[in-house]
Amino acid sequence: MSPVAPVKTLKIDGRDLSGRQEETILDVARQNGIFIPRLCEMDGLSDVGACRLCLVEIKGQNKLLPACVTVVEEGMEVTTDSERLQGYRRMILELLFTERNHVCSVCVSNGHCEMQMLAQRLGITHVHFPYRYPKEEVDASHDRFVIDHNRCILCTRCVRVCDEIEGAHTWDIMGRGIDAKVITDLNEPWGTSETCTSCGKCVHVCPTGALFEKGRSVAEMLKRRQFLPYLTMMREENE
Amino acid sequence: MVFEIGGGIPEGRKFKAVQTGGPSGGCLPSECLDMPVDYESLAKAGSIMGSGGMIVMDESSCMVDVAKYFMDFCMTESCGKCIPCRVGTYQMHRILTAIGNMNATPQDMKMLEELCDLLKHTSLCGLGQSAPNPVVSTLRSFAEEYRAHIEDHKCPAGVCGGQAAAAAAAERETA
Repeated sequence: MSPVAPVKTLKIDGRDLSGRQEETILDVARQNGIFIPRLCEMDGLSDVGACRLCLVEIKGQNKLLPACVTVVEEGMEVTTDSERLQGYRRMILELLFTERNHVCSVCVSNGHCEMQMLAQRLGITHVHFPYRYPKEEVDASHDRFVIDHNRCILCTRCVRVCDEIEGAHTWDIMGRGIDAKVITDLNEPWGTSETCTSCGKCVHVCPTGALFEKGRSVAEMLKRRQFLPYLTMMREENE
Repeated sequence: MVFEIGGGIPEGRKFKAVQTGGPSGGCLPSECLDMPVDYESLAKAGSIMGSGGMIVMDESSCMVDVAKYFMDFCMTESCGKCIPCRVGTYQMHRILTAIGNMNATPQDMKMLEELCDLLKHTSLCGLGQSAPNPVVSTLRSFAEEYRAHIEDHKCPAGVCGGQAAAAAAAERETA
């Protein structure tokens, strides 16, 4: 007798699909070419379920659940794209645009920005909430990299990649609520950081133009994400 | 409970509302005065037991001001991890402040209602999910007060106003 394979079968958007028992809805959707928007999630990093863009409807569940942290269950019926979800996603993204100063036309990531691409994909033509226009700082004290807090969306990818992959934990979050911001070490200038290894992983996982390489002008900052799944795979093989 | 145990409203003023359950709770109007204080009844009336605390308000309290006070609490207490709560509480507080300063528009009210729905259903934790409660419950029972602030530029309880409202009034004059 063959051992029972730990596979769960479920329905996503009416399609019969299957996933391993430890996989999330987002994993299974991604393998099957079903697009679910997200900004904080990144393959190779731990999941935090913070951006709330990947919320999906599950039959029999009152609450909307984040696809990035919800593990598949037998017989689940998932809807990833409804009018209601689209409305919420657009509003969340709009709120993000109002929070800081996301001026695409002068941004190093213009044309390569995950947030910009998502806004286009979700059909956001204008933001109907008023902008905050906060005064945010730019820290260019590092030899090779710059952090522009005006473009930061607090997705914490930099914090996670630095801690989980590089093992340096230079990045962290300071403060809370609307005043929260990412910091290096104990809120010291990035250039004086004693823990930073200048590996640049944070720069390349950053979804927006908040982290970029020095010397890049408007629309010139192309991010290379391929290193992450490669690194994770190599490490797993070595274990 | 309010009148027998609490001793009623001082100085002969009229009872307006009772807020139950702390910052995440709701405001109940005078119709609910004779209701039993238990989990089911409170939930049915649109509030919660929460901490078990009660704040009794008379006609000298403005419900917009009350909603703003609780939203200020939620905005300050938001951890900032998820976007709906982090930015949503900020935007709701901004709108409630604008209403208190008599310079809100009907569009602001629409936005406020949209944000109530968004926060309730998409926030990560209980704080964000229940942050709209004071707004939702005051909108349900005291919509007239919101309307008075926005359309008549008046605060029925005489709480809101001050310098910002005077500036808004002056701006309307010149416009």
